[in-house]
Amino acid sequence: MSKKTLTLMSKDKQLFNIEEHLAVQSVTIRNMVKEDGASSVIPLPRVDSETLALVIEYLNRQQAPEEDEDYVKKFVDERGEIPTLLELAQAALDLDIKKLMDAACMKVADLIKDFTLEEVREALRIENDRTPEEEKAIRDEFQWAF
Amino acid sequence: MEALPAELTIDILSRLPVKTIVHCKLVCKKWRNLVLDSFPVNRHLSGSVPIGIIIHHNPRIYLGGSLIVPNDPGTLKWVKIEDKVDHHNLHYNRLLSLDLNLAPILQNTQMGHVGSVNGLICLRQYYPDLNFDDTYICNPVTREYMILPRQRSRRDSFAGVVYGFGMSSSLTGEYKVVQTFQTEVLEAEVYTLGKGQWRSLGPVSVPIPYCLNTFHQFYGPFLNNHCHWIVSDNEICTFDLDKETFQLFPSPPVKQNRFRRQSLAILKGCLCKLDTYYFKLTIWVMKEYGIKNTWHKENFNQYPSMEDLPIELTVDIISRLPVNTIIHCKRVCKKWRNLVSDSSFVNLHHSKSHQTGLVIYRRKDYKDPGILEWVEIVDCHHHPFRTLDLNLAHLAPILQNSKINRMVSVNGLICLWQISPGLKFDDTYVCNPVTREIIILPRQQQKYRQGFSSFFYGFGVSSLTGEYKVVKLSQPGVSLETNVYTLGTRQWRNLGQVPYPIRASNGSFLNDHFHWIV
Repeated sequence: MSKKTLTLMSKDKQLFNIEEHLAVQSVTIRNMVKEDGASSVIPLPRVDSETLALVIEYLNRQQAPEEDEDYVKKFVDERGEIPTLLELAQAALDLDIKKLMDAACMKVADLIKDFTLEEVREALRIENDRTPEEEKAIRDEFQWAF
Repeated sequence: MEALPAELTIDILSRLPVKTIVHCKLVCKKWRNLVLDSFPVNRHLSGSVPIGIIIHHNPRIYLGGSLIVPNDPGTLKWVKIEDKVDHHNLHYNRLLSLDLNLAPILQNTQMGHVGSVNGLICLRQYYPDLNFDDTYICNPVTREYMILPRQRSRRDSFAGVVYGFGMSSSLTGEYKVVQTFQTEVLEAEVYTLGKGQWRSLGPVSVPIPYCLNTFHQFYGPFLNNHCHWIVSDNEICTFDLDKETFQLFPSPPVKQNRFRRQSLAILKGCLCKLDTYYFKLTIWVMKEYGIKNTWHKENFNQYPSMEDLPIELTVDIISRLPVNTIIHCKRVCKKWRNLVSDSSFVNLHHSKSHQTGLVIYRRKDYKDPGILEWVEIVDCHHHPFRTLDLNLAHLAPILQNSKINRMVSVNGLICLWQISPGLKFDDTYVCNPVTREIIILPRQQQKYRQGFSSFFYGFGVSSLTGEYKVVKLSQPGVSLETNVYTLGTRQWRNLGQVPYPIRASNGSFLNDHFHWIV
């Protein structure tokens, strides 16, 4: 029996082939295959090609089940940059690949847990939407907690 | 190779990567001279060499929210840019970065980038303790630098100081460094490379006001024979390197003045202005030099902000943070505060964080309101406990002269009961040790029977509706009555009398039910 191949298309219109039995680790893809056989190209409008390449690399892994946990951890560890991890987590969310999303989110949490307030905002590109007065108010409110 | 014309050797050398050119100086004396003398920087740039940028990496320290600039000068690095044609992400390979290793001479000073022309860079070294600075012209390709003599005039402060580095358009193509400084009036001086001394230009007619953020003023990008600076909120000032005069310059239209940083740069041969407010970067490009209405807003892709990502991801990531740091998330932004304080977050954090903890209530004596402690149980022989003080000091006034009698927890939420001496009233608190929030339930308007009274409490969550409920059995009269408070409803509901004589104190919660011994 020849292995069936699926084609995934990234946001920037790049095509990636992957064997169906590996692709269905993604619950999203599994459902699509179940519904219409997914003979044509599967578009992933929120995933760019670089991230998709990573996801494909992950899906193509050849690990024994007992080594899988370690592999996923190592996989995200090697991509320890926050923007990459966020993109990866988003792709895993869209594709519903739970292990990958868990690992990516855990890694981000691990990275930011010791950051200062300003560093968290810098790293995750979050705008401080409080005025200095509001900032002071919330600091006072939680004075006892720090 | 030695038999070949020098031009050919230079041509070949100019195609080498930046990283290896410096080694050519070591090959033989002839090559060394070729590299040093007849190696115009612009020839090198016209070769097939990848585009690079020099970044000044300076460690920054944030202390208590304010930026401390350390005395470490940082390092200068040459970074190669891999610009892909099909999409516009810039990549740089750290391995290709070239440490210029100027650290020994830069010790205890700070560096600023003044500008670059034809691959030569001008750097300014500032001595924080002394009121002067040094100017370097540096060729990163050959790794040579020269130090300009210090300026003649002594200035009073850093008010009105700008620096620029450029090349005049005259036949000689002289490289010039210009700087302004404040004495009694604003003055300017120019140093022409090769002339050996600074030349005064006298008072400057264009006002360059004192700028708080002086560090940004030392970079004056060079284009079209002019150096450019932002001189006040949104004014651009130029220096003409031929005529050696200052002038105001048309700046982009700006609606709001809410910038954290503003800077000028050269992009694809056009002057551009970068306005940064946290991570919202706006790039204005002046399509035709000097013509005000050609300022144009550039669209580009930025790295994702957490705010652009699905909310599930944010919640997921925050819920994995340890108990002792989650509290800081409330201060990041309003959205995060709402996320953390949301009731659904309690359950999620409880399921995601792998921390196991106990909450312990400790008090010294009867008058001490006591403290609540979070004790994390770490599965390790050496440090079995890690404590986190959930200081209840702010509750001290209301806890005075009373004590916390009962404590029950569900999903990481703790319910506390306090009975006043003399049984005048009782208070119920629901506390989230993770977000360190406490709510006080309203008191019931009911009189207690004098003398012996019984109170039995329960705290649990309905698996059907997800509602947290507090159950209180009390004896205001002869019989034991049941009252239920559902979190979020703001009032107690009376469920009538209890048909059984209950004995044990706390209700244990399991499987949607409270259990008491009767």
